[in-house]
Amino acid sequence: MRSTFRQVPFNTLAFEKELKTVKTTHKSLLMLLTLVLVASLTAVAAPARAVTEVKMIYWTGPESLAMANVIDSYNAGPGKTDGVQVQMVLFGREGFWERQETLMAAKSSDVDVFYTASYYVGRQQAALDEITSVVPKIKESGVFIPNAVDSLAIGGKLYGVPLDVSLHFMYYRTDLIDKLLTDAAWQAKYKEISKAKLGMEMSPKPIDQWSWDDFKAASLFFSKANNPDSPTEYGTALQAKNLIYNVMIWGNVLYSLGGSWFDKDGKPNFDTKEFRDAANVYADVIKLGGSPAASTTYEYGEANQAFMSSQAAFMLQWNAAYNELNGASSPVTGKVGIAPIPGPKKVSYSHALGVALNKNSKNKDAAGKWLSYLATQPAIDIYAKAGGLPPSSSVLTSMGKTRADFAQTAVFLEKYGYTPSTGPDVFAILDILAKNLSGVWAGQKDAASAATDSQTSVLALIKK
Amino acid sequence: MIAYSRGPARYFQILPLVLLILLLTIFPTFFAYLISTYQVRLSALDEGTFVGLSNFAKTLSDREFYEALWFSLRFAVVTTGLEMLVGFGIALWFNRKALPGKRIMISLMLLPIMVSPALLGIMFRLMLNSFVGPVAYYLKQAGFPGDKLLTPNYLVFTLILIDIAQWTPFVFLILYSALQTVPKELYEAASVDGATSLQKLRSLTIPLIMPFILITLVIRVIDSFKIFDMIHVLTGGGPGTLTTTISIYIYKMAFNAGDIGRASAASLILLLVLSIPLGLILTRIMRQEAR
Repeated sequence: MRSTFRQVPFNTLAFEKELKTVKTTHKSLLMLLTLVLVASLTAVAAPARAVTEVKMIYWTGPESLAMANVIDSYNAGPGKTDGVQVQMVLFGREGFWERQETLMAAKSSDVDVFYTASYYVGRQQAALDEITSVVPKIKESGVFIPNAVDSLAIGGKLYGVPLDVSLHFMYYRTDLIDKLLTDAAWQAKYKEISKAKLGMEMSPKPIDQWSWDDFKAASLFFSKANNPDSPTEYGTALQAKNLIYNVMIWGNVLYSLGGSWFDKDGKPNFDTKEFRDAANVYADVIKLGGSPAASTTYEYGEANQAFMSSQAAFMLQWNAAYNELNGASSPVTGKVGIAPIPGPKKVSYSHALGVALNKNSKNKDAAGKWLSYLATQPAIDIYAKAGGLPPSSSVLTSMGKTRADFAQTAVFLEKYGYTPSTGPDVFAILDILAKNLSGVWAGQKDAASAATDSQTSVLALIKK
Repeated sequence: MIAYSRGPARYFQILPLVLLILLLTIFPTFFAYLISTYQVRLSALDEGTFVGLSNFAKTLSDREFYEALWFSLRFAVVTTGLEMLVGFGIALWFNRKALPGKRIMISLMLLPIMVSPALLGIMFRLMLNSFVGPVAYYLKQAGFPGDKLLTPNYLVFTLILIDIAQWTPFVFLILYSALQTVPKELYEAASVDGATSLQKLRSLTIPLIMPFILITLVIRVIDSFKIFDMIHVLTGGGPGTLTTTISIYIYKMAFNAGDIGRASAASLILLLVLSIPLGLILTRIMRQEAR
């Protein structure tokens, strides 16, 4: 047999010593291999687990902190009866949807329950199972506000259990706005600034009656650039970064002025006067100094920092911010008011965040039991008490006695709530709007170009 | 004594590495070629429509693609140029004979490159925040427009500064190590011949460490051209498309617009665009080494 080794002269003694070492090493390896085999056979022979583990993806934040309490309660109670134990898998919020989508693209069965949202469920539809039979009569049960359930349905088929509702408030400093309504000197200055900067003399109004002109006038009054005696550096802190979540906030301006994403025939509706006027509300406030020029890099965190450091008197912001703004450790605690979004028509963009069943899950029955539990009042009560914000009338109303934001969320959702679309192109449309609008707000293009470009791009997108 | 193997065993020994390269590099590349000819969403890869070269045509006729490419090119040239100059300058300074606390200073210098670019972006977003940022505050106190560094007029300048702050130490590290390889006797001989510092730098130092300079240049150009994390965290590519790099363009096409086919086409076009000049540079480096 031809040797695989090249023949060379060698030292016999050294070779024998090396051979002995090799033999000893072989013996040790053989023993280790035997141990490993025995251990794995033992594991295989052990009785199968009686409990099915359900893995659920969630994103980090107050929602996951609240969900941890629900999971603990379920696993210790109903989960034992169901033979199900739930494990939460956390993904960070940055790039969350992309990471989850790659799991869906891989048709992964590692996870049983996905996280979803009204603005993403259309895009995820192909990777989800509809859950109408898993949670029948979810709307009739009265646990959830029907709008919220509908916002996770596509074509009448339900794909998610809504667990959180997000919508927008206008937060304001109650002490400053109250003073504006009662202090004669402030009111005189307000009139002077509105005349000089906006071309019309305006008087302060109660905040729940504000138009967008009142919003502009107040932002200028409370900015040091226009009013050196202003108690705050800026009137507001607009979230004008090129970011889809910021477009959701701006969308309130559009809808309050009578605009919309689609017309009554379902065609894109962006090249309109309402769109141009709405874009110019932000542009004017930034240009005139009512909001910092760096607003074009601001999102949720920066706006909160501006408000809590008393450098902004009011702001448009997500409802979830209330806890942080009015919390015990906040410098402005006790001075935070909630008002509807200004405008001739009172609106509040809303979407639901929830959980959905992975089409490729190997534990659909178990996951279904978990989803059924989540759609019950006890689960929702635990979730809300732990900091979640479920779209449940009874919870929001009962907890509204201690949490002003809960009471207002119920009112806003039922009276003013709207969702532009739950189709598969929502994310792409938001991205188009974010790019065009942030360009307007940075002074790179005008509102008319943004309107035309948005209309053209969305039309091309839908035609694909 | 055991001799090395020449038989088939050697192929088995390199098999794990070959499989890894196939799995992580070759297969994804060919998959990208395939996907680029489909109109397809990431969440429904098996429901695509074959469109041939349509994705390439759409990308090549997209004004924003060229804007992103142009921004990436300018960003890469400016940041790399400044990092090479500053990094080389610091390396020369550290190469002096007596410098007290040299080791500690080198260790501190290297800290920025140990931070992930995304984390650095978040840190600067907080530090430059006009409401609560300490850097913005103290710059403003010192009379500089510290609260304007994130405004559209200053934004690109700020991004360049952050990139320089993070990657100049990398250039310093490579070039400082290269300077250590230059024999001191050459400088002594040059001094005896009456050469000035500038003449030594031009005629001795730079020619002798040129391969290191070129390699560092290539690495930094590639890295800064495909920058993503720091800019995405700070600006999202905005406002508008002001700071949209080619990587951000591709990312948004894939994940925001959901068009993975077009994103793949854009990636392949980018690969072609970069491979030609980089191939020429690498060829030059290898020829120089052969000499």
